[in-house]
Amino acid sequence: MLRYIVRRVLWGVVLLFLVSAVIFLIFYVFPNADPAKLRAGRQANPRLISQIREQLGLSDPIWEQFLRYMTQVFTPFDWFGASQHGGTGPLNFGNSFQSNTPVKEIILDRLPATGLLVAGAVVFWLLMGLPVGIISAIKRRSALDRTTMVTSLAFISAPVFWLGLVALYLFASDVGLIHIFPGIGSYLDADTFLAKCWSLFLPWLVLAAATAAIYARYLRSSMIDVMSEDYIRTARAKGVGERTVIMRHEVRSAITPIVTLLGLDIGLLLAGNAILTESVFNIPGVGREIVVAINRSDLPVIQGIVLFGAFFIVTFNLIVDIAYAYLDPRVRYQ
Amino acid sequence: MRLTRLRLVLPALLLLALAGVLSACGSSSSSSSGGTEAAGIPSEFKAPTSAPDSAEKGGTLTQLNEGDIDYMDPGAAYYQVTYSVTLATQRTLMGWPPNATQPAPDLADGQPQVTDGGKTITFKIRPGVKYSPPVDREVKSEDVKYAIERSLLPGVPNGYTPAYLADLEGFKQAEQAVKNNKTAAPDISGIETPDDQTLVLHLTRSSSIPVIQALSLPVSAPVPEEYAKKYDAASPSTYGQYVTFTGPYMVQNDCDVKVDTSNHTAEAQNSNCSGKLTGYKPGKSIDLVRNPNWTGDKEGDYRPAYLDQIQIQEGFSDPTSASQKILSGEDQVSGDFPPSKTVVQQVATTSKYNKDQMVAVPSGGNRYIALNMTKPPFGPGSGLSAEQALNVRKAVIANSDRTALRNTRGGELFGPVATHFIPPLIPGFDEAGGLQGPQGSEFDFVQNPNGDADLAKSYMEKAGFKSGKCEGSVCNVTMVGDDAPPGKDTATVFQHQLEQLGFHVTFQPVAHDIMYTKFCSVPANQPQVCPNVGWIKDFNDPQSILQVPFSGDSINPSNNSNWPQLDDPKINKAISDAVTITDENERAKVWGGIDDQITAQAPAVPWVWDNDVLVRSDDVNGVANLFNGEWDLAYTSLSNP
Amino acid sequence: MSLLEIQDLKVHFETDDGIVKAVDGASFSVDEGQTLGIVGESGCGKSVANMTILGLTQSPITSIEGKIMFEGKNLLEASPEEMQAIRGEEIAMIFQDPLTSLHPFYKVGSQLTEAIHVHRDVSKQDARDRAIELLELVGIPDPARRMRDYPHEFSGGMRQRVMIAMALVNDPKILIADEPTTALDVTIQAQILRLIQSLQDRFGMAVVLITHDLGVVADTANYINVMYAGRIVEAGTLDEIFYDPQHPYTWGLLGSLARPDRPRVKRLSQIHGQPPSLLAPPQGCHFRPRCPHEFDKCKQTPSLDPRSGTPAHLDRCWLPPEKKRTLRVIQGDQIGLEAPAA
Repeated sequence: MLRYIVRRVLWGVVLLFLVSAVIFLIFYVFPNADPAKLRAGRQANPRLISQIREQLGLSDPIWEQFLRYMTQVFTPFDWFGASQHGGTGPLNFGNSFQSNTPVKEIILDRLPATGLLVAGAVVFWLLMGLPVGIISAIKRRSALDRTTMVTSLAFISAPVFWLGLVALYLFASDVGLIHIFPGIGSYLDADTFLAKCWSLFLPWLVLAAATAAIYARYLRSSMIDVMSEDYIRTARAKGVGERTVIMRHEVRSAITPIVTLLGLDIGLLLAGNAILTESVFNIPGVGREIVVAINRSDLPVIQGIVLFGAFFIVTFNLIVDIAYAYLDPRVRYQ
Repeated sequence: MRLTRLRLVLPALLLLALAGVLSACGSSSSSSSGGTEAAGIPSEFKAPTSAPDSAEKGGTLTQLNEGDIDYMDPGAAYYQVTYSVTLATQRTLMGWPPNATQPAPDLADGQPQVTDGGKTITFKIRPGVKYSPPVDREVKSEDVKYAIERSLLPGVPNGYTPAYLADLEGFKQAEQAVKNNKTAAPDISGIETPDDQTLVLHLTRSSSIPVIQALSLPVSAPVPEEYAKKYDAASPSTYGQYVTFTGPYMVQNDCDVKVDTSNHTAEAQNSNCSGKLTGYKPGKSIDLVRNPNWTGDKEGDYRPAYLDQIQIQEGFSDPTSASQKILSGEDQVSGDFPPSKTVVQQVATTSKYNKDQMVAVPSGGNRYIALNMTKPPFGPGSGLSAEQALNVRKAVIANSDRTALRNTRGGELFGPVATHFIPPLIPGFDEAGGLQGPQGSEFDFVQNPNGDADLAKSYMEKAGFKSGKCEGSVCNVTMVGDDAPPGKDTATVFQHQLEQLGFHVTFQPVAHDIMYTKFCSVPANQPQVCPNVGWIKDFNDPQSILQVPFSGDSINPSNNSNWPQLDDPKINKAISDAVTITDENERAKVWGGIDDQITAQAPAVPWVWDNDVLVRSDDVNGVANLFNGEWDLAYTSLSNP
Repeated sequence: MSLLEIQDLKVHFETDDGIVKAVDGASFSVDEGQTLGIVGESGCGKSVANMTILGLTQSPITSIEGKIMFEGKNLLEASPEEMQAIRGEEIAMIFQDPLTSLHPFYKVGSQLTEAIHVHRDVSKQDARDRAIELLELVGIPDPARRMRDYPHEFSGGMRQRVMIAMALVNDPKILIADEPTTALDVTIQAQILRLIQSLQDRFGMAVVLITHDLGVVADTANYINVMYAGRIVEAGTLDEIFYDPQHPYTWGLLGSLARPDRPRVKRLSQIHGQPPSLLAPPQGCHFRPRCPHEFDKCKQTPSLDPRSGTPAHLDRCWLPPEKKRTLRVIQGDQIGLEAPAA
């Protein structure tokens, strides 16, 4: 097992390297707004622009910029002019082209919001989706089952942005019909941890809605497969009570693909996939930050968030694989 | 400066709004000079520019922004949105009380003395003005000198210094010095500081008026050299994370300033601090607190500073929900976004909100559609002479329903239809024709805001198109514009209008910044039409609205803001001569004439003189500042603080 | 009185294509300590009938008629709690494929102790001890260590032993073994069958051995039921079935059996054709289409009656017994199913 983990970690590092390279390429190949010009303002003369470009390290060849960046992220050495352009590493992600503040500071400032948003949403979508999936499978083809499956389809199809706005206009304490939950921007007003959680209630529900629906459908079909397995018949033949058959035998087997899905979903959300929810409710997370950074061609911020995101995805994939081996003893010795 | 409303990002699906033409408006577009009536703003939406007598101190205001300010460093601040912060936190040499149309002395002790035919300007600096903690010392004239000099560093990217202060003696040498040493601010010999309270500027020519106006910009906010030097040595400068303040408010820093809400004073809690701004989280929020070292009118500051604290919250990407949050809520105002058309209609036609919660202020900017004069069909080539191209341009302007274009921004409230380029409230506006625009047959193509198809037809015929519509391959034009509303809507409407005249238009929508930096501002890549351009005054002088956008001398190959690429030697000379006029009335007259000369060349379709539309919560006594068209945080108060 | 008596059991499934009559009127009984072999092709209803005893065929599409009398009580009328108390405690069942019949995610030990805890209120240690005891009894070496292993860590034969241990852990009165050796090697088959027999000697429970292979029951069964297309077509003692079979289907089964205790035959006879669809079985005797000896009367459903003389030897064939004795002999002295020589 240890060797397996080490191997996966090393592969993870290689992956991060490759991801960074791809982002660099995309940035330089596709049209974007020139960050030096943006920084210089509308009336700047070309000389100023080229001075700024040099300062930002953008006048060096691409490969040199890339290797400098990799040096700053992964090593403590001063290669490729690291100290002149943002300082040495390790874990130095450079400075934002826009505000000149360290990218690491920006990301670490944004991560808690996304983290809290994701954590709460995970709890909600598991609480909402899993029971529905299990019950729908048990009461297959009943009216309850059909209702939940149609409802879940509606939630999956509804655009998150629309759902968020509807939720606000129904339930927000300032602009809603029924004044219950805090509205847009309430996360920024919240001081305490509890206040932050309360301000995230609607975002949690909105972000959880579509995912819960997916998980319900997924678990339902996984359960239906498991329910027809021979070992379930054996359990009943042993005299095990129906509730125990469902929870200890059926759900235990059906839940393993959900674990894989969960790990992937969490990794993706931490990488910025919650952008729409963050935008509607104005939650200052990494999703919103990367969109802003893309719009103003702030490469260090884009790079930093993508790297963090890749790291989360790699890590969660690894966690999920280890969890899977824990859950399914058959895959343990590969 | 280039016009920008750091634009909305994501439209709301639930709220499909069509143009909210305000029915209950009844605006009177009589052309009287000065006052917001000139900008066509109905009286019920007129923005207050002074605080009510009953204004009380106290409370915390929240300003909602879509995007971030551009720079916290006053030496680099460029966009008007940033001025919301600088007007409240910095004392510049010359400042802008909310209702002023000309700069008033702020850090300067009285109006400057102009001598030597406009080539020498002497400022007296008020004694006793102190920096915020941890700098704590009194401001000296050397600090203003340093502030100007450091703005030449590439790490403090300032677009205004080379534009308006290049006439300082020794400027060129200073620029050269920077090339050799990018980590220390150069010395500009033309700025003298004979004593701590005196600042003397020597110019190479008599451009005193634009220079004094330029010293009302944030660049003249004093910067203590001994404190800022080490930050300016970094590349780029990190002073933006350590800014020190002289105004009534400051950005919270690691000195941990606490405001006493009972007597509205402030004190730093931590004396062992570096000045690092903890209250500025780029893209997220800005926390402003009272500046403990600000003494108010004791040192001649005209700002009342009612609020105890202000928080600017960023990231509100949907203007509809954000505006409704402000309108239904408490203690909030809008920042860098106008309310959406839906909300404008809601306020104007329903009784859900009080009408005075929404106000309009002239922004001092124009919007126009630039026609590329360097290539056909809007410039000579492919069989078209320069004369014929001029007629084509006139036809396009005559044909355009500029009211429809204006309405894509939300209706009358968003500004009157433009008939020339200098906006209302700027000297030269009336001289150029005021709201009606220049009269006479040579300007007939710009006189009907709703478009005149027959006139357009006749101009096309004059251009050699017998059918009255464009014919041939010269009619294929490319247009690069915004990919999001309302810019995209404006571009689309104009596209239809062009097609009416027989042009084949390929519209390429791109992100706003890409539109500029990759296409419209790069002459080599510039398409025939750039529909989403415009200019905002840098200060209240017509030079700042006409020189860069229309002088052939300001065309440059990589960052061009003369989008039509108008290069008329007569106009160029008139512009450069008019820079040095020192008599105010003559200046207005001459620049007004230049505006008309430019209009006569039909380089662009002027379609609106922009108004900024602001909203506030009901319990906020908002005061708008005419200089940057935003709520003035140092004058706004709460009705129950 | 029999321990378990099935009376005219009908199990029908409502499918989209129609009603599948999986069991169409089966009656048999199991006596204490007895081994009953139920033989038939796949799809003949033997598994369904036995699973129905434990109530394992319940579903919205199932309709069950008849009676299943266990210790005087009709199991078809029992409540779910009563059934749960019987499963694994009074009547236990093992299935064909031990790999898929054991939960892959739980250790074998915990699956065993689960079977105990469901029915007995004992301590964890006691349950563990009992489980180890059973594992040893079924011939698993090093049983204490093996308790911690997962099903996939056992070989096929060992797994089936585990299943048997699990079934017997509460000392049930009846063990139903549904094709217990079909998924195993031939050599292992014999071991398992011997194991079952020795356990039966030790514990004294009744065994119902379900198989498609007559050879499997040849050693161990006391009484054999032959099932075809949802019905029992012949029922008798081991000797009666092997030496005096009354139903052509039985002859076919015997004929296709390789008999090492007899001289080699020229060829094994086979039963031509396929078992009928249970959606629309043939009218009358279900075996008609495949029976070379069928005649007019076969269009009437033959009743299950004793025709050969012995009262307990039942069959469903209208052929007169004397004729049967002739028709069933082929290739000299073998019993088999072939068209009569013209």
